[in-house]
Amino acid sequence: MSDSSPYLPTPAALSAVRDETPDIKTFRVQPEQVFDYRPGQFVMLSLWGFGEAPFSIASSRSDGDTMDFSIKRVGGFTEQMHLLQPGDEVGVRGPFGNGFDVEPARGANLVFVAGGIGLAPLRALIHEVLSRRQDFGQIVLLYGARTPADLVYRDELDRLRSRSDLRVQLTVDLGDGKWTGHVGVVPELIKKAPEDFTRWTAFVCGPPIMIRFTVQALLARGLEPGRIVTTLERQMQCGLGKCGHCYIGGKLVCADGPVFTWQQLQEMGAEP
Amino acid sequence: MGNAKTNMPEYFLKADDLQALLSALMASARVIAPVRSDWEEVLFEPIVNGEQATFEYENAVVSPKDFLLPQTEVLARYRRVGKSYQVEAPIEAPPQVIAGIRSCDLSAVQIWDEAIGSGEYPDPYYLARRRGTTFISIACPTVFENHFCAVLDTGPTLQSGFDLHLTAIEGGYAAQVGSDAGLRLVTEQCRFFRPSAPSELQQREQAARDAVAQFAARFDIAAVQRALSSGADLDAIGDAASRCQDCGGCLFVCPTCTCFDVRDYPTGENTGERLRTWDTCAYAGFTRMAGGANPSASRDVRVRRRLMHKLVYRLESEGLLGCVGCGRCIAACLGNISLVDLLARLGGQEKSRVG
Repeated sequence: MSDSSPYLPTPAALSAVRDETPDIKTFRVQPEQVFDYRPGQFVMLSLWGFGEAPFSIASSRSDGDTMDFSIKRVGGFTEQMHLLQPGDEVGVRGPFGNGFDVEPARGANLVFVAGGIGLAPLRALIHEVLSRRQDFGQIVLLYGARTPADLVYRDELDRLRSRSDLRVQLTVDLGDGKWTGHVGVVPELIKKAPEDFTRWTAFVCGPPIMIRFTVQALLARGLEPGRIVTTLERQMQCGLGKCGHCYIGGKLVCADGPVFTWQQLQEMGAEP
Repeated sequence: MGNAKTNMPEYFLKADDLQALLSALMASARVIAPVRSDWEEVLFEPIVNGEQATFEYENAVVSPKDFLLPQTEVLARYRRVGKSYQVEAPIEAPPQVIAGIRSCDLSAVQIWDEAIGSGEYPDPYYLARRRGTTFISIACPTVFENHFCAVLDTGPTLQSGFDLHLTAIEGGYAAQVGSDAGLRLVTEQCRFFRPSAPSELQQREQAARDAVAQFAARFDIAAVQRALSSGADLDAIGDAASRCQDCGGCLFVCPTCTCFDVRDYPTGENTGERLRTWDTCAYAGFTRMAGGANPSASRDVRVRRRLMHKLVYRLESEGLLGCVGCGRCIAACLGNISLVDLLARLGGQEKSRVG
């Protein structure tokens, strides 16, 4: 018997569970052994008896020793996660993947573009960037969801909107009676933005189709493919670069990604 | 574990003594050898007597991969206690000898070493078995049906990778030692071995030359790689995809495939196992995500990807071709897709002779 298996997760207690939308909850966990991680990295969350699934870390190490995961109920594992209560135990393996590298963007203007639950990995990066706000120029966050009820982190978005050192704009595909904001898909916000995005760095995350149209809109506004950074979802099963499920071209999303520039994806002949 | 040893000694083993040698090895290790079943199939199996083993065979239906990378293995066992879990990882590896492994299958072991046994997270389950395994390989005397190892330099005989490598010659086998473990085996079982005579070395070399000479050059692997890497639509891929039945058979018999699935299986109300099981990129579900998005939903994409992974990407990431030319995928295919024909077509050559 050995405890050196990279497949054994670290036990972690759920310290808080928050409803974000009708089908998304944010789970705050406290791993028994705290580990360092970068924004954009992911972990395998483990529920004994139900298996494991990959989730990007929605918090930044600058937030403290706990980790946040925003999880949409879409299948067996996530349904089980949604049944958990504070005090329940999960397992955490990781962190895995490359994560975002903001150093090349130091001093640059940043635009974050997120769709739906795609705001989760960008939230980690936004926390990191705001913890050293002086290192960056202008910051814009463009975020959209299907309906107002599907927007995540509403309180936090309100706080961000009240800040004077960044611009936040929200949109929904379909408004409700109370929604007075923008209605339309996220790429429209890019087309209408007053900023000259030419030398900006963009961080994009959302469903594959949203990423494709967002990148087209960013390219049309003059951003360079090497400065458009996205993070991809795949069916990671091991996180260790072994199981093969997350292949993209000749690379593995778990080891070589999940963060790629648009230029890298084009060179790999890969789709988001 | 066999690294190339250039000046290792060579021995002669009498044909009648090979089964007795295997019986003697059973005193200290599990011995796995090719066994002919009642249905005339040859399969690698643990034996209890050397006489069960056969060395008069083309190749086993499947490679002995299962004994190093089991089709299903337990990664962890868990027991729920209150709100917590007691967990253990059973990493167990009794010593074993795999005898009668052909050159193609032994070449696949190098791929497992790179893909599973190396990297940032070397797999401890595999490495424990690998370190406890001794390989006695056997050179192929002739070209067997569907085999194309000589084109890929993975046979019919080998220079390295083995602990002991046997080549049939007059009256018995020339036995080349390839590692310290092989040398130890010969030393401990010295009653079965005597140093080779110069004429026996010559016979062994001649046998290897004779075997290679029987292989026709069927395709140009560099031309195949160029065609696949071009990104162009290829009729040969489309035709293969149209005949593929999504059964995954080609990949389950492939000695080089190492992809797997991880799932939990409860064994009781509070207990269960986390299992690793072979999986294949031929299945549409291999890349399907929760929520339904699937970057490889089309069969054309999957067929191309399979070839790219084996013939281009593995060379880039692991320095080895992901095909060893064993031809098992051809025998397994329900859609009669011949990898040899497919590669010949991709390489721009005439439809090849097979076998």
